[in-house]
Amino acid sequence: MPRPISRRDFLSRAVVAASVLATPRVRWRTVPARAPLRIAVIPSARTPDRALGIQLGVDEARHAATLFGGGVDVTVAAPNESLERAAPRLLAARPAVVLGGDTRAECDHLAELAQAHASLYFNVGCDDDGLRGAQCRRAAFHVCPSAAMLRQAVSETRAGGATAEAWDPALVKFGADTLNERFQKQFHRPMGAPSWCGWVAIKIAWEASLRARAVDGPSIGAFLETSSAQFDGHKGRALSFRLWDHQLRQPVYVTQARAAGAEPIEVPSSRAEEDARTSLDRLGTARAASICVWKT
Amino acid sequence: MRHIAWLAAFAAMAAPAPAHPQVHAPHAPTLWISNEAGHSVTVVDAASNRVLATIPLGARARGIHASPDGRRVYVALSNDAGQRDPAKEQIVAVDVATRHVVAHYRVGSDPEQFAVSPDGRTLYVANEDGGTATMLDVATGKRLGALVVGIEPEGVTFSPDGRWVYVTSETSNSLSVIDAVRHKVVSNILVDLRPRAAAFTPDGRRIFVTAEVGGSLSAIDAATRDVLATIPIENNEGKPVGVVVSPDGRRVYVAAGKGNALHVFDARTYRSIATIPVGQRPWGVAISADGRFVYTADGLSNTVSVVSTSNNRVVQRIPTGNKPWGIAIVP
Repeated sequence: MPRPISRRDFLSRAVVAASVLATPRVRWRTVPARAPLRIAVIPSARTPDRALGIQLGVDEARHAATLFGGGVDVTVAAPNESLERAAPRLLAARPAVVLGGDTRAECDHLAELAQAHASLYFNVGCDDDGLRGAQCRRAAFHVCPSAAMLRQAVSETRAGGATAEAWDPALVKFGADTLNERFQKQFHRPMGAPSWCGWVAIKIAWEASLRARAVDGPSIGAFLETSSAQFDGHKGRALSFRLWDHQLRQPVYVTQARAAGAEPIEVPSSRAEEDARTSLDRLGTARAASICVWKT
Repeated sequence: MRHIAWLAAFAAMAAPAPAHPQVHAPHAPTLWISNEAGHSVTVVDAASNRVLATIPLGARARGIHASPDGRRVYVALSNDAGQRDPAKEQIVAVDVATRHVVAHYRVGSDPEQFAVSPDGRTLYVANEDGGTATMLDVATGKRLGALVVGIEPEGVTFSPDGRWVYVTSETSNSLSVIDAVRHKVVSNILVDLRPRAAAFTPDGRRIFVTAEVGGSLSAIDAATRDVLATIPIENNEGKPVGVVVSPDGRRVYVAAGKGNALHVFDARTYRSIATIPVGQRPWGVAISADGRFVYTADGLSNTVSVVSTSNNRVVQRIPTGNKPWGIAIVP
């Protein structure tokens, strides 16, 4: 029996198909069939731009699937469906990864449910330090920077009115400009931090599945805990998850309110004597300071 | 000796380039350097390392290659970051003798890197924001089609026999293999993070691919398409971009942008031979036909470093335009 797909998923596929059909003389290569990576998404009413980043990530993962085989099946909660109702329904199908949640309670609930269903929870909506600390769960991988990382970045730059974000639409280096342009071209708006988090979460899920040669949550989770699990988020440094709290190592960008148009300041800065992990571990909770003990 | 070389470099810097391109038929090999922010090409006499001319092109100049017969130099032009003017997106052909643009090719959106077939008849162009490689007939200027490759395609290189074209794609970490006879993608290879450039050994049996964010160089078997080895550059922190293999196939030269260095590897054992400090942010790299000199385009120094392969030292720095990106050698 064919699997039902959501309206959003159907529309997404239709858009991709239409764009392909509308492009003359473009030839796709056929590759052997492989089981698709299944991802469940509970969209955020509070941060709708996150869904756009997820959409771009899914589109690009499907493009990559034409190269390497497999695919990405995305199941999306209905717009009027509460997280409490949608989460158990979506997780009953045991997707490899689930995304959603805006509050600490929601994110913790999703992480707990994902763990119980042998799925992974990719946190793209909660910067709460407790989820990386006392409430940490092994099935949870925190894609966006923690509140501690953002606070520290602002304090290090010591500028009045400064804010720190995971991404900035003014970034240029290491392909940031092409990512910003791809997003702008598709959605007619700049790519902000929520969109980047959604995009990179899907990219990490897809690439981890591809490199681990697995489409189930536990295998992908085990791969993410290896030293070879590194990802390019167009930030110029290899991104990886900290073993002690599953926070994604990454630089963040500080902008000053009074310096409109100025290039954002990257924190932490690179030091010649440090490798990328050591350098990025200067931001946020260090291993020695972590109080995370995986909750079961 | 090095002191003399530096004096020569300063002498070269003091010699102004002609204000306007003039008809000139060089006898010695020439270096053609694309200047990304300068929107121009710098022409250098490879015998004296003296700047002969600067050719304005009016757009962001990146990919640059000579035709096999040495009569033309092709340059990929596109928009500066944040701009979108389709009229600027093209490849131009510059006549080597007159230094005038003699042809404009529309090759799809955002051309950055490309390769010229060994017979000089076809260009394969990476369309960075389109996820395609466009094939172009040089004689007619006609687009022969476009092939879907990875996301954010970048480096393009032909096998020495002209049968295969390899295209790196930065976002999808892929290396697409195109059959240049059948115009068809036949394989895709997963490589390290953010692959930038690829170079064949002269016998066509192996390909070396740089990965900028992975900080590595991968060696790939051209027959099996297996990754034979992934070699760390500066403990995976090196940000490698350009790569060339020496004409005798014994050495691989990698421009490591962040490390401000040119790395030399044994092409067979993958052992590091030397790390040579060059200018800041070397991106493009080229090697002379006799293998005696390697040239790096030092993006933030506005120079080309000339490296002697006999002693692995910089023997001269040549001034260029703003943000030199790529280097083509016209024999």
